[in-house]
Amino acid sequence: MSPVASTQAVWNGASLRDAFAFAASLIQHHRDRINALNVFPVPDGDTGTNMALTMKGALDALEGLPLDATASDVASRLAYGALMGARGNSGVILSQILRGFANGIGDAREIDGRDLARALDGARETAYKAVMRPVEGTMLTVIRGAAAAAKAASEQSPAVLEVLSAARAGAQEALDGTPNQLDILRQAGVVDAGGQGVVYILDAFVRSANGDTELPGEESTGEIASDMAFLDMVDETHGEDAFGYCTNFMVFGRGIDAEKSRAEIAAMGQSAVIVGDDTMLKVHIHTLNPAEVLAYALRLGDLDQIKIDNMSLQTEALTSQRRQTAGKPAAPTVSDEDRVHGDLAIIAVAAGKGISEALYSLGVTSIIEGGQTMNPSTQELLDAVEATSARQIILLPNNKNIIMTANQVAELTDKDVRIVPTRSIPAALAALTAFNTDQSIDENVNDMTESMNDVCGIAITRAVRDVELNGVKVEKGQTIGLINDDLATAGDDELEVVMQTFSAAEVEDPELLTVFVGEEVSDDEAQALRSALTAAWPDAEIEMHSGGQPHYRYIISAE
Amino acid sequence: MPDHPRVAIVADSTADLPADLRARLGIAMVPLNVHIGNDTYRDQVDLTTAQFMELLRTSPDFPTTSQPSAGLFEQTFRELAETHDEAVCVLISSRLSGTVQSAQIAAEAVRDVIRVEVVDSMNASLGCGFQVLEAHRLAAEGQRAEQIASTLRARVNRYHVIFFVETLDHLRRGGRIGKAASLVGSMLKLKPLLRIDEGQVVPFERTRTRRKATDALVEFAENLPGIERIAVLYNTTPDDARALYDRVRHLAARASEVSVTELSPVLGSHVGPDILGLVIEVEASE
Repeated sequence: MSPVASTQAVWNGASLRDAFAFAASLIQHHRDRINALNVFPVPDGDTGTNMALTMKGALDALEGLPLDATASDVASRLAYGALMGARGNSGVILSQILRGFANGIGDAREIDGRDLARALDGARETAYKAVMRPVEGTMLTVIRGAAAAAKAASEQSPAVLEVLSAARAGAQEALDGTPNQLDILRQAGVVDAGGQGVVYILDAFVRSANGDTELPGEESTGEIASDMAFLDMVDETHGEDAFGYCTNFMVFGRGIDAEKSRAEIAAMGQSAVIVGDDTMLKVHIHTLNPAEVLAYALRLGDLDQIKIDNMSLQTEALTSQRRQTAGKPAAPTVSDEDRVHGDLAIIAVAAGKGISEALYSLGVTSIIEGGQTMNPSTQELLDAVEATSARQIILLPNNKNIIMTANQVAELTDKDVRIVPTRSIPAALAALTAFNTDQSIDENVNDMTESMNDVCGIAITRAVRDVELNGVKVEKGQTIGLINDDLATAGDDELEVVMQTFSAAEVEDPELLTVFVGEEVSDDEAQALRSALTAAWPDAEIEMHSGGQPHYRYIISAE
Repeated sequence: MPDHPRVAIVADSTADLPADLRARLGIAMVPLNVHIGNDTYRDQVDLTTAQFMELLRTSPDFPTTSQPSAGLFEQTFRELAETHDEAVCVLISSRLSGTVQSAQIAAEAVRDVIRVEVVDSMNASLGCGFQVLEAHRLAAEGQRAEQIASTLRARVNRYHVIFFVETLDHLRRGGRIGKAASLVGSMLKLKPLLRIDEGQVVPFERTRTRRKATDALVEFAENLPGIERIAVLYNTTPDDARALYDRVRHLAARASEVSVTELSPVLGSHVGPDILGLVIEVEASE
């Protein structure tokens, strides 16, 4: 069932909160569909996942805000939450869209269509500024389409619904045009994933304004709904110490005392997020007794969209998976604090025990787990920056989808944070080789940035989707070779793909090959790779290490 | 005493001055000692670099080194006193070896026979050897030992030694690693560049391949203004050494008496095989 439909002319804080909460649900609902639009066939932090987590971060920041908070307060909190929760480039741009949106709203208690048009224009402006070299055919184009259409509509009518409808249509039109603007999208035959996310958000706004906040029917999980993405979500949402039932539902009724209900439901568990008004409540709570919560809610009205997850079981599954992938437990030897270089710390993002050890041995102070499977949030990077006693920090993102998040961290702390924009582990090794404790942070950042491209980085993984890119046709499940993070080769025979990737990289006479073997690779397979490399370059020194990284079969640095 | 005092120049075996050059210029040499197992060899006398490298490869024992005895210095100074009025003794950094100390004890013991100025080069290999040659030039100009010593001491910063090692094992085991300790512990193979700074070995840069390490040596020289003389150090790779010299020789204003030189066994036992380095003398700053 749905609440009484009422098209709204003006939004207050609660309407904006509801619209946003619904937008977050819709993005989460379409997460896999957005992920499926990713053109790159590597198991990277996907756009849908990153946007869903960023939206969740924004929503979480509303916790504790009174129900009669102004539109301005709600928008500012959302912007702050998105900023701290931003993951991946799409998350960072989304957080900037929300920041501009909040700026555009200013200190308004309530907003009409003209305010929304101004807010969307603020969103457009801030988003474009956040990207050093704005590219058309992306989220930016879509938010611009929305802002332009909203402005035109607001000159005709100041009603919220009309302006939002126009914005949504403008966004959709811009989205449809993205394959004509970006070659990579045209080749893959898709629209931009982040742009699609923006359209969903505006869609949610329109429908919220219409009072139509039912999620669409069963979403096909798409061809790429991987188990990993599910585990990542559990990890993100609940952490390893979560227990009990994560209980989510909506209540529709009349004359609900939202404030009182909110307090009483919140007392039944932890991590409560309860939003709504006198006709509707959306409840998220961690409780040991979901029946108690549902029984209470039933007295308020009709229940809908009930979803209960057993976090204890999920946590157990996650932990056991972690245990398996980690191999032997890490020996607690040196603390991060022991590794600080005077007043300087190097913080790197990496996955895999062996890779972490290699980075530590070259001077890294602390490691943020993530990278290939999960892009850490701004908050996680910021926490690591604040946790170290050092006041000067060099951040190595080691993934092109984490560089923007890292850049945001520099603006959120009083510490002196510099980014050496490494896009891969081989680049990180090359940069770290140039690190010298006797030098100033300026000299080090300069030398490290100069050196990071001194090696050729090759990564071997399996395609998670069909795509044709850079003239390479890839089928899901095939082995693919990446050169410095760009797709280069694909095939069914792994060793052949490795050698083709080397020849595509024009590696002719390497002196040193450093190979990190992934967690899924058997000893025999690794030995076969060593033999093939030795046969191809008998003079080269070949160093093989167990990297322990997930997804990536091999990560190779050639120099 | 005549207008031109007869000043003897004394070096130790780690200055890496070729024997024929020493003979031609009349420079005396006092050897340090290399110990392998129960055997003791006099550096550059009983043991050439090539022989030593062979022993390093084949002997189960790790070589150690020791400074010359004060007695050996004293004997050398007394012999020189028969044909010279004074002596200047230019030696390996006191922060790397006790050689300076032995020489000072000996100089004190012979003070009634000959005045000996002991100069701590604060350097090693040709970084010390170039100072020995400078002492010889100043003596040839007729300067007294005291003047020569004070000129050298004021100009120790003119000499740069930079090299890379194939492995840090030898430096670590020899206990001469000092600040270079920060280079140890890498899980990945490194070919670190080291230099001598204020008399000790310090890390300069890390590289991972011989090619990049060699390029880094050239780059170091290219960035150094006012190069007077330049020479290449090696111990097992003469072809690499000559190729490196061809890349850097144009950077020096003057030809050096030594262009490519073998590292002495004593220093070799601390840095291991396959090293390559540069020794550079820059203009005096005054």
